[in-house]
Amino acid sequence: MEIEILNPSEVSIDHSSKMLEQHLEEYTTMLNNCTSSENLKQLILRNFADLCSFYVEAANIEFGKDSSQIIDFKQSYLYHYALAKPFKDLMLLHRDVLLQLQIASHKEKEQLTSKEAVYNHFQESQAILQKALREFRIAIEQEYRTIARIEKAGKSISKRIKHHQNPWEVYKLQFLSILEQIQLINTSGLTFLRVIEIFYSIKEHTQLSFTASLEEAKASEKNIEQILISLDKVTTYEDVAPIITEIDTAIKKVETSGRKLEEYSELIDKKVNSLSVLNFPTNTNQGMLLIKKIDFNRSVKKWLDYELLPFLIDLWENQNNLASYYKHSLLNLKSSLQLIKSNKTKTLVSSQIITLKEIERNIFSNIQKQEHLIQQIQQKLSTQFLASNIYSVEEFLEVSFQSSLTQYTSDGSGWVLKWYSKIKETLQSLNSSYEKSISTSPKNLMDQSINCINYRLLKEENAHYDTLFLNKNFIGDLFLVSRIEEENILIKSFRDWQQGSNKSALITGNSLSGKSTFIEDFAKQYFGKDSIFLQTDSTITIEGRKFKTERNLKEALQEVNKNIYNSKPVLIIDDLEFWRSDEMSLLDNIRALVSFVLSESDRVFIIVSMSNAMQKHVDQRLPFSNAFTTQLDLNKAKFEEVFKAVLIRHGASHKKLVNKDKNVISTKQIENKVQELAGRFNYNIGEVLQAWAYSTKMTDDNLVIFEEAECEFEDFFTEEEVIILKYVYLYKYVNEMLLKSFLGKSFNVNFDSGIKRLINTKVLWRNSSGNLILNRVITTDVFEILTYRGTLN
Amino acid sequence: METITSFYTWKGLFYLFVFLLALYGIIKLVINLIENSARKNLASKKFIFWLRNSLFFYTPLAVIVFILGFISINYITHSLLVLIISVFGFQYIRNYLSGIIFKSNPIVNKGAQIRSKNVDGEIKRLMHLGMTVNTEVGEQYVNYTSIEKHGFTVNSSNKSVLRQTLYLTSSISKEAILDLLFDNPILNFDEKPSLKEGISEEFILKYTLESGASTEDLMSFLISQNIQPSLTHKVN
Repeated sequence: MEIEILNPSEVSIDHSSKMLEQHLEEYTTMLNNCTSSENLKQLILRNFADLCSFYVEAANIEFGKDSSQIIDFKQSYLYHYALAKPFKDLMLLHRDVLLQLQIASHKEKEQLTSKEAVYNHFQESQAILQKALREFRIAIEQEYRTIARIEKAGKSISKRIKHHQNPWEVYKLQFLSILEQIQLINTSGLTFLRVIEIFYSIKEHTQLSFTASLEEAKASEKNIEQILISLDKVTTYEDVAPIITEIDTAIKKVETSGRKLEEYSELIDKKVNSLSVLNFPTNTNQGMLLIKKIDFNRSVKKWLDYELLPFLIDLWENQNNLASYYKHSLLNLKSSLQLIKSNKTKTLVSSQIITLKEIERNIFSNIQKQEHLIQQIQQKLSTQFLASNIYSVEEFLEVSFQSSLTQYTSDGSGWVLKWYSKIKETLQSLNSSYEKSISTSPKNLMDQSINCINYRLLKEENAHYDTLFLNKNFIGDLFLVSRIEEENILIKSFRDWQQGSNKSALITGNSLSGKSTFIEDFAKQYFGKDSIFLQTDSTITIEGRKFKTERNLKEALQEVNKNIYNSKPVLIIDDLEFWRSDEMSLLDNIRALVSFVLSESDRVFIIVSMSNAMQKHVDQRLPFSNAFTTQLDLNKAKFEEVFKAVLIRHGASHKKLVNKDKNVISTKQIENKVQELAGRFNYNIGEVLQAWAYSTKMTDDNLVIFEEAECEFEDFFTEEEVIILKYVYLYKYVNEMLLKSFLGKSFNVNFDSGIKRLINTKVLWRNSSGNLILNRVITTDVFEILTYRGTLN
Repeated sequence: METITSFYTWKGLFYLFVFLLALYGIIKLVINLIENSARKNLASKKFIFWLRNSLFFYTPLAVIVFILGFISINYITHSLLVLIISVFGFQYIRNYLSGIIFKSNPIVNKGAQIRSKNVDGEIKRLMHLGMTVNTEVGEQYVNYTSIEKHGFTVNSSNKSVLRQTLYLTSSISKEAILDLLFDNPILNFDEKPSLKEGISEEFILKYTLESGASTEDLMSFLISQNIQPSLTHKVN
């Protein structure tokens, strides 16, 4: 609707107030003749808008007149001063009525109100407008009377309005904007109809998808019933054949694709994408028109995702479960029927009937569940998913906080859920270990530690598998994993030695870190037969000559020195700690070794191994480590090396590794488990292999079960026991005589009982020569306890 | 900017107080949790030690931050107020701070034999502003400032290992004695024994024992090796 404002000069028709009255009269008649809501809307849009334009035009003409030439100020007074406000009220009322009529029609379209209600609404609106028009006319008449009264008093109207500023300019703007608003209500109403249509089609589509799901379920129920009836009728085994074909056709019909969600979301996306951000007049307040700006696309998608989809997914999942259960049951039934057929008996049919009835019951309960879900969906669709809800006070398609939470937690990516469960797990494990540590008294600690040792000790039934892990040189070099980095350093040192430099190597590492294997492998590769393994209490052969060793390294080295003529051999002293006796202390032996290293290392490539703790201890007393040109610490192997060592050994067992529930563990999972163990045992390769061995259990069906060791070795040692353990850890073995010599009388008071306790708890073992050695399954634990207590640095 | 300026209000100060209190609680909780549930290894031990020490210093730091927050609300009046309080409470504040430094000293703990000017006894209780010491005449209260002023000696303690001295008489050489001691597990080699030649045939042995071992054990060992140990100088 264009509002044309004419110049006063162009005006040819009558714009007097009488004319306005006439127009008003015509409009009132038309209003009275209105019969429907739609009719009234059109009337307001066309005729009332025309009436408004007429008023604006007339007032404009009066306003445009030159005040000095005007003789009759009556028109100006009426249009600009007296009637402008009542007319504005009339306009506002019309606008409001139009909006309400529109809202009513939208609600009717979405079937939220009945036709009668809309009709009543129309009648009331009509009545209000009629009343307003009547009052406006009364206002006009009153103004006429006022003018007459003023004129009668001999006064001029011009004088009365002379000192007032003409308000028409302001009124005009207001009138025009109200007209624009009327226009906006009309156009947005039309757009809204499209929105309603889209909402309707979404609803329809949703309805279709859930009824399809329910129908599928019902069809399967019906099929089962059918088969049941057929089975009931079976009298001989020959009757079974047609039932099998019946089942076959039923199986073919089962749909378990599970693409429902994708299909649904695609279609909804297509529909919703045509919606965009729209401005809708939704209400009026004190003359103002309230406009809601709504991003339909976003809010509809969000609502569907958060409020509706969870239910739909639930429903589809239910149906999918049902379909696969149904298919599975049918396949089972088919094979058992085939069995009946081939066995030519019918005795088994009755048991099949019982199973079928069970299946039928399950399907029935599933259908009930689906129906319940559908009811919830329908409820949501009919009360919440309504376009006309924009007219309500609440937020349009509001998503409750709870549902957005559920959405986040049940989302496919589920990061919130993942984090939540992670935090929960950590807290739980903290809590449980906290409770455990709180509840375990020192006495329990000992029990726990004894159990731990027992658990870790070699089990007979696992012998075959465990030996693979606990043997370093099984079947030749097959299991050897080279420590490339350390090897390269040693090779470099060896090459320098070959070229005439004095070279010697000190290999350090805790028990089971692979020192011996490493040295043996190296000697074998680079020296072959020219390797001298100097061991205590044994016979050594050098270049064909033999000599016996005791525990005197000085003598042994002298023998070596004497017997080397033609070769340039490697001299290996593995575990230097064993070279000690009552006559010759470790320190004396080490002094002899150091002087041998310093003088003979050009002729003999010397490799010595000992633990890191002992190395540090000796260095406190002697400049020991410095005597060696190359020092290698083998304590920490690389993860790849550890992993390879486990894999090679496991591969050789030709067994399947499974978890507690007998599910096969993949290589990736094995890697994770090895990583875990490696971290736990500070990348000590031997410890990890050992831990792997005691974490696994063989079963009769040729499987190997990996079970995380739940036992923890706890520190239950007294201070005296810690001193004993320190000695054993450093010197590899101890015996009562030795300890007694260190402690004198007080051995019997405090230490004797300690040593007995350590033996009883299997922390210490007595070896064949009567010495006590540390149980190898707890080496790392003991090391950790000693460092924690500050006994070892 | 808004969050910063909001600290200059009573409400901001309240939040600051709650925050500082919560942080204190969290540190305490972490210590408790690690102590009771984590694996007992060197890393967790060091971490707990570090946390405990930081908690020692956290309290005064938190108080300072709180006072700063208090001053920033109205810096003229509140500064004056704080100044007056600190002038009157100077003695106590100094005592408290000395106490923090004193208590963070690893050789000080409950049960240690402490000797300082006018004090000689066993520490019975360590409090915020002072400690009670069990002396021959009874329980004595000592404030930390005086301890700091005069210095102190800890003679023995149940927890920490202390360096001790023995006087040895022997015909064996110094090196041989040290070699003998090397193998003995009751000696702590982190602080390795040292042997000095004293008057005439006497050696002064300074050593640290492993906890659980006693000087008597060492003495009986030395006697078995034909070395005569004595706790005091030989009187000629």
